[in-house]
Amino acid sequence: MKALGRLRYIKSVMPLPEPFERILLEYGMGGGNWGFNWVEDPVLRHLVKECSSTLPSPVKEVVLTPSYLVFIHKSDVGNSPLYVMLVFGFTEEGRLFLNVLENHEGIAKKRPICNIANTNVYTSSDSVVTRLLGFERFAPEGYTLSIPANQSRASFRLQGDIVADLLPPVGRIPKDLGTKEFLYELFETSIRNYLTLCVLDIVYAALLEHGFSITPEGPPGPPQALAVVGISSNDFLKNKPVFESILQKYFQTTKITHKQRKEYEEALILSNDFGLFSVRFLPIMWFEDSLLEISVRPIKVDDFPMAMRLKKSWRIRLRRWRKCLKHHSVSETI
Amino acid sequence: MEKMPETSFRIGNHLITLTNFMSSTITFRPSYKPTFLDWPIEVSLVDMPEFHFVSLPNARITLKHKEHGTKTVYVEPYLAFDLGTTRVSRNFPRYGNRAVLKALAERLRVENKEQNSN
Repeated sequence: MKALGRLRYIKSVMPLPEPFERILLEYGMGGGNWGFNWVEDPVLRHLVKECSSTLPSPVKEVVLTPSYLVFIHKSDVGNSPLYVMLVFGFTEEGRLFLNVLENHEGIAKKRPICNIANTNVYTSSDSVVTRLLGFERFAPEGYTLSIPANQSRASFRLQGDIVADLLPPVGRIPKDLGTKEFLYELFETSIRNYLTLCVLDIVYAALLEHGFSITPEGPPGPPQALAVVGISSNDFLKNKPVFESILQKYFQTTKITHKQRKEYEEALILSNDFGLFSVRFLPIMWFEDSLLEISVRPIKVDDFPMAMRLKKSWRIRLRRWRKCLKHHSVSETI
Repeated sequence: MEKMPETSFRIGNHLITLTNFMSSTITFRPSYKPTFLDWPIEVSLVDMPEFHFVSLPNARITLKHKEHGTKTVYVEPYLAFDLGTTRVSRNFPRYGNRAVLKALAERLRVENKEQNSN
């Protein structure tokens, strides 16, 4: 009877959908031992039992919003508490669902209203819960997704558990993707990186030709450096002319010199086709093993024949692509 | 009227069709290729790699689902865009699978009982 009285009070503070009333009443009378036998969906019935029986601690608090009912369990793991939240809500068709969330903060913005089965009950807003679920609002049929002027990004729930995330151009995508300058500018950096990869490839070939075993290195993506294992700092310093002569086969090369306050040694290499680059040699000690890491940086490449050739073929591809864009096609590879 | 090219994929039981979107990364393979370190030029239109698409004018998303039906929403042009699912705890699929198995076993028991009584 006490639970019924509390429920009446809660309803006077916030109108409750009927399933939430039943859940709260069952919780108040059974202290969390939910039967959920009134729920038609057998999967949901078993899911509630699974979740509530597996959780390590009793319910710490209940948070009620116009569309969600949240049971929060708190367990202390390590230094920061872990909050496990059973979130009840409704699908767009009005069916009751349960989701389980975890975080280290719980729900911050809430107002206490009463106590039920020794558990504090709070009210809060829907947006507090939807943010935890990973979206800000629901997009109805026919809605146009956009980013409000005062926001840096936006998230919408589209259907069931499908969420769309939007990010504004942030100075990258202009309002007209067909803008030549924008795509050329993006391509300039990519050209430099590509030409650097081409030159690293020639250095790789030159070292292979002389009998070295080489391992390309770097994060996922194009290799950033070459590793020549077994070459110590001492080996390298004593034999710098060997590396100079290897490079001289394909490039005009300066002597390998030590850069002040830098860990690496450097030579400048010039190719009439590719441009001017710096080759860096970094000896690395790894326990008892040692390796020589060789990387390449572009210095002046933009006006050299290979860059001009790449820009020309990019322009031809862009022209084709812009035609495609006019017809609004989806284009993944141009 | 000209048919708009589109791309379709599935997320769970949702069939999603994107119309008038483009990939946020343009892959370009120049005719000159490195011999050993062959890698294409990748030009990214957005700062965050997890945003895989860019909306074009008249961009629309059609979602089809057995229970939720068919729905269409539109996206303003020239925005970086990606799709995912709502957040869940790492244990949620575990709870869900156990619940599904129990519900199916329960149904089978009822069906067997009915068959036996007939």
